Amino acid sequence: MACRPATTEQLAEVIRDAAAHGRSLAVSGSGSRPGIGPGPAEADLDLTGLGGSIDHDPAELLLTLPASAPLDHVERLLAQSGQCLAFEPPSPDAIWGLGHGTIGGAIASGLSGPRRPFAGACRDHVLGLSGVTGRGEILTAGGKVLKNVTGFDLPRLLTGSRGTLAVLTQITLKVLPLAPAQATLLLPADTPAKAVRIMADALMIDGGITGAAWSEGAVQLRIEASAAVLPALVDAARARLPAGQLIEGDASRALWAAIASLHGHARADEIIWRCPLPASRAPALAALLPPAARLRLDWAGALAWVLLPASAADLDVHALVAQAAGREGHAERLRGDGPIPARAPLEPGVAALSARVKALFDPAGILSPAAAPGGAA
Amino acid sequence: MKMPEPDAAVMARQVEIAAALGTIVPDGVIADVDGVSPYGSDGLVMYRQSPLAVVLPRTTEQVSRVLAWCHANGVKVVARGSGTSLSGGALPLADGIVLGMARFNRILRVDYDNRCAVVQPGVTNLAVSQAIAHKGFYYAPDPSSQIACSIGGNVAENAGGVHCLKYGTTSPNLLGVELVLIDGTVLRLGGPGQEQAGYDLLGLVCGSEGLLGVVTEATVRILPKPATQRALLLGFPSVADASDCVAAIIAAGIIPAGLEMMDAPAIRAAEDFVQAGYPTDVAALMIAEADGSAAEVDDQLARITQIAKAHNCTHLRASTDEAQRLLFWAGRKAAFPAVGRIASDYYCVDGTIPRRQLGAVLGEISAIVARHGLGVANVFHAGDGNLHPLVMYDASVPGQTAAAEAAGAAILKACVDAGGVLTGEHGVGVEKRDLMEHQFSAIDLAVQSRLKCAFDAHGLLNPGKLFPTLSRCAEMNAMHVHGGRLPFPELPRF
Ligand SMILES: Cc1cc2nc3c(=O)[nH]c(=O)nc-3n(C[C@H](O)[C@H](O)[C@H](O)COP(=O)(O)OP(=O)(O)OC[C@H]3O[C@@H](n4cnc5c(N)ncnc54)[C@H](O)[C@@H]3O)c2cc1C
Repeated sequence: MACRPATTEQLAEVIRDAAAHGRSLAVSGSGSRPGIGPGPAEADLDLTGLGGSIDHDPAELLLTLPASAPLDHVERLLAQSGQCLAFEPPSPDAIWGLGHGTIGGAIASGLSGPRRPFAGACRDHVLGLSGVTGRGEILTAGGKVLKNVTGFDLPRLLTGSRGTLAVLTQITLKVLPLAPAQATLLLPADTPAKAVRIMADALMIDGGITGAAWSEGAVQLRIEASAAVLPALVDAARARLPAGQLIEGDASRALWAAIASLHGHARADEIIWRCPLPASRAPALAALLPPAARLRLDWAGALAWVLLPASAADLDVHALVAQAAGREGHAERLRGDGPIPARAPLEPGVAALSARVKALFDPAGILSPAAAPGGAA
Repeated sequence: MKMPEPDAAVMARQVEIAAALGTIVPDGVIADVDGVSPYGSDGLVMYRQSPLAVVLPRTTEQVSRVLAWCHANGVKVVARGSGTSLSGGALPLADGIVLGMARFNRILRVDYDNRCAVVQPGVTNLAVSQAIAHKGFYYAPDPSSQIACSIGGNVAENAGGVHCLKYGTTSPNLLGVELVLIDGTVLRLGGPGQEQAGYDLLGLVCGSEGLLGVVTEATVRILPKPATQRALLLGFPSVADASDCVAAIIAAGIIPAGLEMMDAPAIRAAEDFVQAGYPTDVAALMIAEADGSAAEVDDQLARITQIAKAHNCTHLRASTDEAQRLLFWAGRKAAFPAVGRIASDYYCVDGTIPRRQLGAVLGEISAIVARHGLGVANVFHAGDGNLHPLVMYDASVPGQTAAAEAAGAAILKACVDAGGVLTGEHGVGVEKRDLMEHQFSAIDLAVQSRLKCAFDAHGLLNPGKLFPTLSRCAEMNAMHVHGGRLPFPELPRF
């Protein structure tokens, strides 16, 4: 069963009704991120009918838009005035092949791309939100200004909450200038340990570095700046780092789009695990992986992607991350199936607190119950 | 300011409470009138209230036991860092204790490889940067109070600084905390990694003004110091020119490391105080700072200069060395005490507006203070639209304190009416508590305050701050028991 409200009031009505009857709803923007999607529920909540206008004010660095706005459309719109979503959300299309998704989905999933260590995470760019709680209340949180500490920080709590606390309808984002020119240095590094060292050294160089990743025996280091300044920054970086190849302009852009969403990195049938952890622990994780596993690093080593063939579906990546990084890392399977749960249980005290938070927003437990922390994902 | 009615029964137990807490924190309990008096107010000096007792724990275990005891005995708790809050966040309660975190003063670990420092909450903001300076690192958030304010207080207020347009306020620079809940539960949220699993509870705790738990450890992100920092001093014949210039800089794709502005009264006060070389014949003064590699800095400053000239800039100077850059900043950083010299008292207001409203809101601020028979000097974090009108008054003149408070409230309402918010960095505390309904609907407030029930169902941590009324949690739990049969639409529980 599916329902497709056309207004926020109708959405609230649908949710109130579902709550009153204890009927669970699968909340999703356009179904583009099935791996971290709502999971099974008694009815599908189709949000594509909730439109609205887009208000982009480049001089204020503000963008307010309906949650249903298509992500690729938003990125093109921002590019026209030389701006971007600085957290560089991964394109779901490359991972799941089901379209580019909505901005609401990008915010609710909370995933950040390669620029995360340099420009901040998804949650750091969400200034305000409107939505409907699991009680059917129409809620506005945060504001439409760059700096705001008024009240509890609900925008951060709701970002990445996977639609399990409230259904987002409108979002205000901080948008930032996109440097007009870029280049990527490819630096040979045959082991994750060497790669992490090179990336740590590179990050000591002050000069436009906005990406540090590793795959296939090479560190990729992105430098962004104005066209006038870029050559000087590239020279400065080259002077301090091992010799390597230079990739410029659109080729560099394509390379980073691929890194963000593993396009061309993950084979079509590979299982994808995403593992944030302290960069210094990435080599330890690498050492624990079986030969069939392939590893990609981003965030200067603080994000490990583990790619597995179907034959290794029973590899307990949670246990490996725990062994490598203790409680300081975690893993989530974004794509593929297997006997291992996609997410590991939270530490008991945090799990209990999370369950209380969930119950306050959604006492009947109807919003994407399988996606809630501790839900049966 | 009306605080929740103190509980006479708890107050009557003062001696017993102090004795019981003394068994948990030997030589860390102050209960005599003179001893607790220094803790009676914070940076918002208009309000003062002595607590039942002050407890100064040293360890997380002590914090946990103190909170569990207070929880079991229905005693309220106000955590306190350095007491520099400008919103009355650390104002004690007559029937509660102050939990002073000053003894948590150690930097536990610096992890340069993962670019983070693990510090106790009583460490001052500046001490973090000082401890890592020898390795070329610093901690980016730099509130003007940084020599005094504590990391715990920064986390509780999500404090900002003059560089947060580019580097963010406390929250984006906070990677993890150890948090003790009122029932004594010790939790770890986040850590040295860049993302936590599950809900962003760390993001919720940051800026929660001591209402959700006591921070006993913080992991903060550290950064290599910029290779080059240079500043421009720009004078304009009108505030409108200066604010148009700010918009044009940002629209040109430049995010300066700092972009600050002062109006004529603030410029004159600062110049008289520190002789920073500010021009006193301009209506608005801007400090624009660029940082990064020399190539980036030169490029940015050249472009900002060009834009400023196109916006009628009449005074332009670029810092040529570090001493001069610091001098440019000295006046801005001393703006509060400078105004304190020309007025016997001043009240620092803190609202944020969409930048395009700056001219209109400034006009309104002048009208409001004039209506209350007071003066004002304005400093702004211009890049992000955060205003600090300093309302000047004389507390010894009957009625002027009340007039200053009323003017402050009217200014904040004007900020909200212009599309802005009540506070950009100082927090709501007691100061703006009763204005929350001007910004948020009853439902918005109910959803926020209800979250307190997940952390502190009996409302013992810093009650009377932030929310005009707290949700009654027992009632909500009862509703929860009925599962999917809630009476909708639910009325906000005020
Ligand atoms: C001259 C001056 C300039 C200032 N400039 C700025 C500025 O530029 N930017 C800015 O953002 N602020 C500024 N402030 C305000 C103030 O310094 C900040 O809000 C600061 O973060 C407060 O830190 P504190 O240690 O003094 O906290 P306190 O005042 O002691 O407490 C503030 C709040 O934090 C809570 N708290 C303290 N420690 C803990 C803990 N360990 N766990 C849980 N809760 C805790 C308290 O309960 C209270 O609610 C300024 C203040 C002054 C006096």
